Amino acid sequence: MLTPPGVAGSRSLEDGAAGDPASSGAAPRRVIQGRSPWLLAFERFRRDRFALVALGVIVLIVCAAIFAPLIAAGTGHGVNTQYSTAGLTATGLPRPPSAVFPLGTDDLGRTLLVRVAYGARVSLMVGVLATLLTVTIGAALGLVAGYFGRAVDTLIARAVDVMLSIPFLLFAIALASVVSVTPLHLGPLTLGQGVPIVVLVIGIFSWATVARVVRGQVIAIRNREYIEAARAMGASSWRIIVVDVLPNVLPTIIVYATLLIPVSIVAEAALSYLGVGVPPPTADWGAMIAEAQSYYQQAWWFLAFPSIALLLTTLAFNVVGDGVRDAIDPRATGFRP
Amino acid sequence: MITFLVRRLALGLLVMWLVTVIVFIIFYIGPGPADVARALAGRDAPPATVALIARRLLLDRPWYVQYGHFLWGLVHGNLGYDYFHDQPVTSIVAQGIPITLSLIVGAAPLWLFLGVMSGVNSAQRPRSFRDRFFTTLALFFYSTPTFVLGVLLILFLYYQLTIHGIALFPGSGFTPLTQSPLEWFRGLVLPWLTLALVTAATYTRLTRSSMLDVLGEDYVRTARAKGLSERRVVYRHALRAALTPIMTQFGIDVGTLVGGTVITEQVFGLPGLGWTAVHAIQEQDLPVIIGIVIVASAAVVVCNIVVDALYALVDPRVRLH
Repeated sequence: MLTPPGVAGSRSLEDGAAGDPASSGAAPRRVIQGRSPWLLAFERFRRDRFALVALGVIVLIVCAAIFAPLIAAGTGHGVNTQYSTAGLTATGLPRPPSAVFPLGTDDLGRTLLVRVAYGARVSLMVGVLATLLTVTIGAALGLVAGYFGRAVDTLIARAVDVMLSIPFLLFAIALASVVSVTPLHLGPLTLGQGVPIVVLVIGIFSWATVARVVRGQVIAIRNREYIEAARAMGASSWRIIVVDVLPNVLPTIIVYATLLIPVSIVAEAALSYLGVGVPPPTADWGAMIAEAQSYYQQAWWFLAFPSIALLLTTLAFNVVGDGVRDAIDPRATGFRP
Repeated sequence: MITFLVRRLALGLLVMWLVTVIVFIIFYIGPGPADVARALAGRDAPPATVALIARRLLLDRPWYVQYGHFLWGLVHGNLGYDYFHDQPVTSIVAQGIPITLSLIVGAAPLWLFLGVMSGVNSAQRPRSFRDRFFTTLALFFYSTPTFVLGVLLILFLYYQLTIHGIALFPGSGFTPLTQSPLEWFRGLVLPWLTLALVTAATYTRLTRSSMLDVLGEDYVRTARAKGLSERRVVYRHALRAALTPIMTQFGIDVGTLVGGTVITEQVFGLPGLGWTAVHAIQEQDLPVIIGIVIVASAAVVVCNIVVDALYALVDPRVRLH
């Protein structure tokens, strides 16, 4: 049976009653098998053809990111190798797609195909890490605020209000640019311009929505009988939060996480487009689009391929996110982080 | 109602104060006062000049003196002076605001119209071809990063049209409304379209789900049973009830966009608030960045209060919370 680990435990009391006869060999009688909500969700997702295609696209993009060095080896060109004679025209403009440069070259005579493939690494890495950070901070604060209530709740709710009033992009570019001049020292860590600071900036400015939603859900269930029962048995607050409350808000958290990945990818690309994200010469889609904007009249490929890659990635993640949401909560339509 | 408003205003002020604290922390522990003075003085400046600049900008004083000075100015409507040209930040902000507002004023009706109409059309026949068409379109624009859409519009609607002899829109730049209303309009069509298409996608989804809820209500069935035309049922009876979440989202979006048109302004070279902020950041001109961040946050806070007040006016239950 396909159940994510960690959830199986809390569900085993209800589902286990139906038994696990599948392993007992050739039993001719029909056995009704319990299906966990997760299995039901998985089966619903499997029937969503649109989402499956998008998942296929994501797998391809992930492969491109992982095997970027192989793509580079295949063309024989490095990510940052500049072919100033072969890769640029006599007037110093990028070269159109050809057998030697499959997607053409960029303004410095670098191979676009290789750079687009390497760009997937930054996008996916930031997308996943920033989402993890956002969801971790948001869920932790939401759980604590919702469960404990009173002063803690007020404090966190005000913090959420403040975070939602702050213009994200302005603050993010300000913070990222400050850090690029003077690196931030966090204990043994030194954060300068690059992936870690972009992840941190996106995480800091996006947790509020997650916290608000999780808090609302926790408030709705914190006075249920089974929580009171756990309390009566002497379970500590932290145990109740982790063992009894968290599994119930987990579906919401997962839906938010899948829908936040494309948002984080776009945020990273936007920061790099504005020149405060991942510094050059790292291959990055946002930065490539910014550079290509000066050459769109002469070199459409330079603008087109990074744009297509970015658009395809966010589109695929959004379709999968919608599929996951419909699968986990079939009644919800159109809700968005 | 009055207590509700007072409480909401107090909360807004608290939020604004916390924003100033966060801004101050970022920039105080960020570049650090010593770096700022040195950067301003230039590479070869003698230490005396650096010290003089630091003293003049209060950079040599402890943080609470600096913060107090900053807050005092803020309360009196003074956002300080920019580091490089000694211009008051308020006048720099005042130059950017008309451009950002022009952008929002034109884009907002457009996205509201596109989003609500496509959402209503989707909800009228769920799972029909029309529904799938609009939801797919919404998903596409929702996934499109603003700068990708902006650059594509420049490529096709400006460049391709212009080289084929149809120069409808300029590629970038801003003409004030007072100077030439026609040029103002022409220059803003592409930015408006960019902003509206990207934002409308959220409204399509929101309107669709909100309308689907409302169209299932009893009173809608009653309206149909009375023999009202479908158009009247949908637009007069159902849409009115479905508009509440849409208006909330609209208020929030307008507030957020005051500081959120950064990318659109950058793509189209419109020197609004966002563009000014990006340039101030490249120059490390802290007072300007701080000023714009505070103005943009204030816009969000004010719009939220307006939305809450309208809500309370429409639905008395809200006032109790």
